[in-house]
Amino acid sequence: MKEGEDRNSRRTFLKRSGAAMAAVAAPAGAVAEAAQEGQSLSLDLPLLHAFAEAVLPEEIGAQGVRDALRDFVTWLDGFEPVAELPHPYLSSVEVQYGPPHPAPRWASQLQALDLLATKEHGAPLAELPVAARRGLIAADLERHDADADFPRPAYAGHVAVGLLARFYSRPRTADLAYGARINARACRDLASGATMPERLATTEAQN
Amino acid sequence: MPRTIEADVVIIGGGISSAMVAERIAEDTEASIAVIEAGNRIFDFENRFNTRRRFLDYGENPYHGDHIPGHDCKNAQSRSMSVGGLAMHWGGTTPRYSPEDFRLRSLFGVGTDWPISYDDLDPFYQEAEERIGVAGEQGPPEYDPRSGGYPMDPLPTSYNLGLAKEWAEKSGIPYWRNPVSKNSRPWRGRRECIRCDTCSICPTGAKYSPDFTFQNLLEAGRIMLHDRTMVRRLVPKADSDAIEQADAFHRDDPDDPVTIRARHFVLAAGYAWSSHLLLMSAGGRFPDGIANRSGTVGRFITGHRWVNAFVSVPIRLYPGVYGSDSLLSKRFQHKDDEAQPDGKYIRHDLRIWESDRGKRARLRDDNGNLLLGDAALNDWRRRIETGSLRMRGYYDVIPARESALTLEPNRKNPWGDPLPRIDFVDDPVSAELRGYTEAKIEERFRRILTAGGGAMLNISFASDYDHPGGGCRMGDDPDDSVVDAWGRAHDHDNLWVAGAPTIVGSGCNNGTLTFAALSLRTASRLAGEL
Repeated sequence: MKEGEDRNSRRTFLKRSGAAMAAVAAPAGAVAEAAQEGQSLSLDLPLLHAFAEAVLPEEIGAQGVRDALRDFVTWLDGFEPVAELPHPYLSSVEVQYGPPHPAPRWASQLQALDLLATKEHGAPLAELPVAARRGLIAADLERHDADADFPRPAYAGHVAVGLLARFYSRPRTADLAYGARINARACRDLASGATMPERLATTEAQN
Repeated sequence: MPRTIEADVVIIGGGISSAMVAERIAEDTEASIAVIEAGNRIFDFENRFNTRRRFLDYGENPYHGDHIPGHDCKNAQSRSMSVGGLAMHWGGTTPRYSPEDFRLRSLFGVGTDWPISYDDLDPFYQEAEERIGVAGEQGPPEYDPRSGGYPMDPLPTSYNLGLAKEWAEKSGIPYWRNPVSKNSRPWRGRRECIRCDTCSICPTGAKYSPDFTFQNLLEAGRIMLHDRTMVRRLVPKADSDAIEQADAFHRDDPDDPVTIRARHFVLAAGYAWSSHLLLMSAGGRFPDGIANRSGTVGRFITGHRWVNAFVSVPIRLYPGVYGSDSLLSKRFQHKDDEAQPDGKYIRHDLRIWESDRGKRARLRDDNGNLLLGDAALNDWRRRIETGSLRMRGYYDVIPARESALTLEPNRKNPWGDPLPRIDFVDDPVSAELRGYTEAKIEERFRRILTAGGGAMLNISFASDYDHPGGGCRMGDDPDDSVVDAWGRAHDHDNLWVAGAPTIVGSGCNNGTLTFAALSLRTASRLAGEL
């Protein structure tokens, strides 16, 4: 690919993702409006939202799902395809590069699931109860033979794995699991890591 | 781009050894100094919070362009090549070698004694620790002798590591904090560590990297730094064995040669590229390469292997605060009946880190069932009631003469020069003891597990050498070594080799501090001749 083409396609993608961000961040009324634009995005945001409700933990609530989606789309927005990776230690002289952009693959999977929902249940994915959505997604993951361990998100073969891999790699998700303010990967004063992490308040954990 | 570079001292290579030599020569003398580095200068400190973020989010290389396309060494430690070298992205781990490492033949009847002792190197260890800034905790003196204290107090022990130490010491094996070149207080213009826990890309400069030294020397006008300049050949004088010049080119203009002249040449290009250049310089009166009358250049490439284990422990841990912090024990590097219970040569360190192995969220449970919705979070919570730790032992491997860097005539870089490859070969003593050594280290891991409680999750054994060095080893005998005890080539009075290439063995500990100390020792002798 020529340098100019690369920049151009990236600009286009950024523009689309910017719109995607707006859709995820918007209140419920605006989401429907943004969804009109969302139909042309790499990932169909309302569809992704319906999808996320079925795979993310229920206990994070509606706000938690919106927050996780905002993070996921921001992450996807910033993704640089085939980026140079750190040189592996002791294992190879080859320069390593990351994967191509996962968005096209994930977008087509989402669309396929939506079509499947209509064919099997007579309604698009977003209109199905969460349990029915989860059943469809689980069957799709079995078809993809998804591994037990999460890969780095961009390497996920399935959009559900990508979304969950990103969600479970977030420090705040770890804090939720541990019930403690670990705040992994955050810079902090030197002494503070020497004590047991403070417990999360119940309300924080719920949010 | 200059076509001719002239200086009193030319240092070929731009890593930590080069930085130590340049700084010491600049302080001790008025000599002009030129540093020649084939890779790029990546002086982008102001971008490091951003590159760190992208490293965390996307796994990207934080040091863009830190390699030379088409220019590599098979089986080398890393492809990285830039001003600052591998010490740009090192973990900042700075243990010293042990006194026993320098006297293997005398103490154990194996390997080769160094021409210097630990005591000879001790003041240069101390100097290196001062220059790069090392924070550490004094271990038991019988295992961790030092003539002076660490420049800085250790970083506060993390909560997880404090618990790990209590757990591990139930075995009776003493552990202490692994020293690091990370500031527990502001040091030489660099700030105190704030535990970002991405030490390979330290965004604050609390971890030492050689770019700081080079930038300071540049700002003081004490060095010339020529990056992207690749030296292809050292040329001896017609009427003596002294080195007259180095032939080079700038990567932006490879067809236009650059001639480099100096009173003294210091080869500080690491264990791979130092040997490579000497072998590449073969010709005329030196048909086997410069400094290679002994046939030892590229030989005795050394390193150590590891045994690595992840263990589950009955302790609630909170991984993610400071995972790069570790515990060290040199208990089994010592010579005594407990370390070598069967009279066989075995020496290794022990290290412990926090870990999240087996404690991460997952998509399927042990029965292969998918975990969607609350199920994944609940599964995760059940599994983190106990913690996990990483244990590792580096064991000494004595290299054979055939453990070597050689040129591959059919594999060339973009400029037509043959590329190197390294083949690690154990001395017969180490080859015979490999299985015994690995089994013994595993047995010691299990001793710790039995005493503290827990279970082995996974154990693995290295195939190749870690922390390699050698290729231009030091010695008193010019027939069996490349440089003398000060790093001066036996065959050329004005050629010096600094750091990693000169080591005789790799002992059981990370090597960078030793490379820095050896470089300072070389610089101290060279400075006396300027």
